[in-house]
Parts: sequence; structure tokens; C-alpha cells
Amino acid sequence: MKSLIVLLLLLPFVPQAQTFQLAPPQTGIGSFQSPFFTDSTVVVLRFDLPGARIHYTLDGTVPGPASPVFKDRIVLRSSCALMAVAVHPDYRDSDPVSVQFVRLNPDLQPVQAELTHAPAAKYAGKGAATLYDRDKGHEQLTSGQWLGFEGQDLEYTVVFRKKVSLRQLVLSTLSAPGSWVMPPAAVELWADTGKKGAFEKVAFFELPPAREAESGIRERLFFLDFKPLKARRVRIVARNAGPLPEWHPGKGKPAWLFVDEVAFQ
Amino acid sequence: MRRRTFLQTSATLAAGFSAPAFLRKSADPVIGHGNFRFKINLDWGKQDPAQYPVNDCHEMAMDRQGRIILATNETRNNILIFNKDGKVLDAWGTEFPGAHGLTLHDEGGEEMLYIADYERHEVVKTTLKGRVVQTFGWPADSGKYASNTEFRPTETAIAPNGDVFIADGYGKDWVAHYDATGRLKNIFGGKLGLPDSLYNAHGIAVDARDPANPCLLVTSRVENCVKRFSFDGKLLGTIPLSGAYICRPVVQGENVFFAVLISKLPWDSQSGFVCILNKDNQVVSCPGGSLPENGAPDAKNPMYQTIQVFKHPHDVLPDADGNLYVAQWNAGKVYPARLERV
Repeated sequence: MKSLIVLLLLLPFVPQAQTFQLAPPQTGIGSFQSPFFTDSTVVVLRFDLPGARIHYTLDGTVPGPASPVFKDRIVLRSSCALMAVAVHPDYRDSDPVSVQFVRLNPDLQPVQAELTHAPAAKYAGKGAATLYDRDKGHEQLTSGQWLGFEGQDLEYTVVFRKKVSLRQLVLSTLSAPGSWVMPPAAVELWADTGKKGAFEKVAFFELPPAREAESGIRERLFFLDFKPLKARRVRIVARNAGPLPEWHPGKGKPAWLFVDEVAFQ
Repeated sequence: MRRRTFLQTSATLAAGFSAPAFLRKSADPVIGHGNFRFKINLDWGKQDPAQYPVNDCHEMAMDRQGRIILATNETRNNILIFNKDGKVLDAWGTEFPGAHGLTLHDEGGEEMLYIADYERHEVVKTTLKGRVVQTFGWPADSGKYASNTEFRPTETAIAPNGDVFIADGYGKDWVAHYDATGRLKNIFGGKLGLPDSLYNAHGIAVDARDPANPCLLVTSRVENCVKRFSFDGKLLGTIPLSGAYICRPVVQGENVFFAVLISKLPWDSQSGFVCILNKDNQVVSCPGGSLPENGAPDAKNPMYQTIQVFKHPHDVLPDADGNLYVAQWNAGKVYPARLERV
């Protein structure tokens, strides 16, 4: 105990060498096929630094020393939020990195889909099919996995093979204020519930806007629950957030809306 | 483990001396791989900002006397000249708001600086004391530009025959080829999306490692690669550097050095490091970053930052002892750092 006290007293006077922080483990291209999957998916986290380890969790909590250590692969069979940190004896722990994985029901894959408004030519992807191809867009906005709309809403109508039960809408969008890309302001869900053959509005969701402090490119994944319904045809309207807000350098100009996947649970 | 439990655990660890698996440890780390390993001296070039201010530290060059010359877009002193101990020996230049590219060239015994200024839309040749000798303007005769303001040059390379190649890295990504008198001879590259096009032609250098076949190395930063061109503008090959948003190629001895600005978008992601190629253009060391398998990165095996030593490295300068000086863009006005070879 005595030596401990001495140590404590001395500590402030010991010159501290600079400690650097680790970068987060790699969860980008090559780590997994897509965060959307139907049966199972394999995740490979990478962090190539001798002596480093990756700790991870699947319940959305920040990994601690007791969390599992990543070995060679993680097999996921259900929806989850994966979080990982890199640790090394010589460096400070990385910030956590997180990826939301979504297991989708194959019966809820559309047989037909259409867009009311065409996306911008530069961000046209494969048209409506882009939104149910189970491919996730990445930071490269021109990769063909994103649909981009300048100053316009996304209006997307899907037809299922038969009448299906639905309770949740999964909407994958982007927030990149620096590139004038804002997440949607609101989402409407319309369904042809078979009563009159016409669409009726069954749910409305207001979404949190991008904040001024928000820098960089962030994927925004929304899980929107609604009163369960049965329908064969549904329409999603994602409202463009524009014009750009007062704090934005391009204030008053049209905002871009980027969407790469729409799914149902 | 629930979040709250972990927070409590880590608080205990920080306060006590029990097995600190996650506790930070003091370290004098060595970064890099193979024969290129370095200790880190972030304070090497540190100055009193009231006396020698800097903004972005863009590029560096070393003169015959071994002095380290820095170009910054701070118009109180666009050029700072350091000795090897990081002391400022000279400072000059107030008229280069976009001082970016800095290339040193021996011309008949006198060393000249070529300062590529993207705000002035020209390259200015000066003596080491700052006397302006010549300027190279926009390539009006090429037909590729509507006005001088579209031309935002970032780098200059001087061929063995004295011809001057200017990379328009912040403009339209053409490489303008002038003779020594400033007459336009050719233009190539451009952002056309073709194999021999360029996308963010941020740097250019003469590669005379094979003395029989000298060529140009040109950065295509958004494509994460460097392209090899003949002096008449023909594409000879591409060196993929997947994941690395490289600045300019720096050829010394049998190696090529790159400051990697970032390894993921956005542009201010603070995810940079340093990358070193061997004579066969394989990646042999990445101080602060990951080493790709077999030294050959590709889209599925990209390079990435591992240790946050640097935010946005913008240029790297090797000295005769193998130390590296690193200048950074958008990093809180930091002065150049030194990586000391071990």
C-alpha cells in the first residue's frame, strides 16, 4: 500500500509520452456483403496492427474488456447492431464503430416497383430496383447504389406477390450536409388495403432534421413502426428536407435526398 | 454487458491499478513496417505562431544545404525555411494566397523554387530568397479552359530537358506541358473518366529511378492511384493505392513516398497516414496505416489508417538519413512533424 501512495504522488511528475488513439476497426468494403440479408451473413472486421485486438458486441452497447474478441469471422442470423473497438497496449482505444444489420423476410421482396419521379441522372442507380436490391450504398455517392433526388420527394410504389402483413418500414438514407444531402423531413406510408382499390394514407412519420454540427457523411437508417396492416400494394413518400436551412452555406437552395434501400418487416 | 456496467468498470480501472486491459499506457511508439520504421516527433517544426504563423502546411522541399523549405497559404510568410533541428532560418512571401505546390529545381547551378498557387491561377518561379524570376499562367491556347480562374494548379515537375509540367489538381485536372520559356507544347489527362484521365490531379513528379526510361508520376487522388505517363502524355501504367487519397509522389533513391491525406471520405475525416513504395512500386511501409497484403492494395484489400498520429498529411520529405518530415493540411495550423527512422 505504501508503494502505491508513493506512486500516486510521483505520477504527475513523470513526463508522459504522447499516447495516440487508434483508428476504429474497418467495417467498410470487403467486411460484409450488405447490412441487409435474408438468412445469415458473415462479417469480417479488420484492423491490421500487430498486437491489436478487436472487441465487439451485438446488442448495441459499447464494447468493454469483457466483450468478445473478434477472431476470424462473425456469423449473424438476426437483426442486430454490431459495435467494435480496436485496442492495443501502447495506444488509446479507438472510438467505437457501429453497423446496423437487418434481417429481411424474403416473402416481403417486391415483385414490382416503380418511382413516380425519376432520380437525377447522375444518381439514377438501377432505377426503382436499386431500392430493393439489398445493396448498401457507400461513401462514394456515384457508386450506383444510391438514388439521388434534387429538391424532389421520393415516391416509391411496390407490389408484393400476395397480400402480406406489414408492421415496420426500414428506410436507409444519407445525411451529408456538406454535399447538400439531407435526410428526409418526413415519411408517409400509403397502402392499397383492398377496400376500394385506391391508396389511403396509413402512417405519417416526422423525422429529426440534420443538425448544423453534423459533419461528414452519415448513413441514416430509420425503423418506422406502424399499426400492422395487410396489403399487396404500398407506396412510400419520403419528403425532401429542402430548401436548405438558414445555417447551411447553400441556404434556400434545393436539398438533395439520397435513398439506397426501402424494406418492410 | 450493459453500457452502464461497463462505464462503471472503466471508471474503476482508471482510478485503481488493477489489470488495466483497456487503460491507456504511456508509449514511445514506433510506427511503420519493415525497413521503414519511425519514432514520432510531432513538435519538430513548432514555432511561436505570433512570429511565424502557418495555415495549411502544403508542401516541402530540401535545398542543397539541407535546409527544409515549407510552403503555406499564410500570407504573412508563405515560405518558411527550417534547419534540420526545426529552427526557422528565413521567412518570406506575402503574395501567395494559394501557395500549394513547391518544387525545387537546379538551373545552371542556382536552385529555383516553383510555387504552384491555385488562388493566383499560375505557377511562380522564384529564387531561394523569393525574387520572382518567371511565371507560368493558364494554358489559354489549349482550348480546354474558358478563363484563367478555371486553372487552379497544385504542382509542378521539371523534366530532364527543362520542360515544365503543371498539374491542375484543383481545377480541371489537366496536365499542361510547357517549354522552359512558358510556351504551351501539349496538354493531357483531364477529368474525362477514361483510363488516361485524371480525377484530382493533385501531384506530379519526374520518376528517373530507371535512368534509361524516365517518366512522369501523376496523382489521380479520387481514383486512389498514381498514373505513369511518358513526357509526351501517353499513359504507361497505373499503380493502384486503394484506400489512399494520396497527395504528391515524392521520388527519392529507389523509393516513392506519399502523404496520404485521408483513407476514407469525407475530406475532413482525419484519417491520413504516410505510404512508402519500393523500386517495384509495392507498398512496403505505411507509418500510421495498414500494410496491404503482398504490398499490393486493391478494392477489396484497401489501405486504411490504424493509428491517429496524423490528421491530414499533405506532403512528406525524406532527408539523407531516412527521416521523414510531414506537413499537414487542415490540422489546427500545426507545423511540420518529423518521423525519425529507427
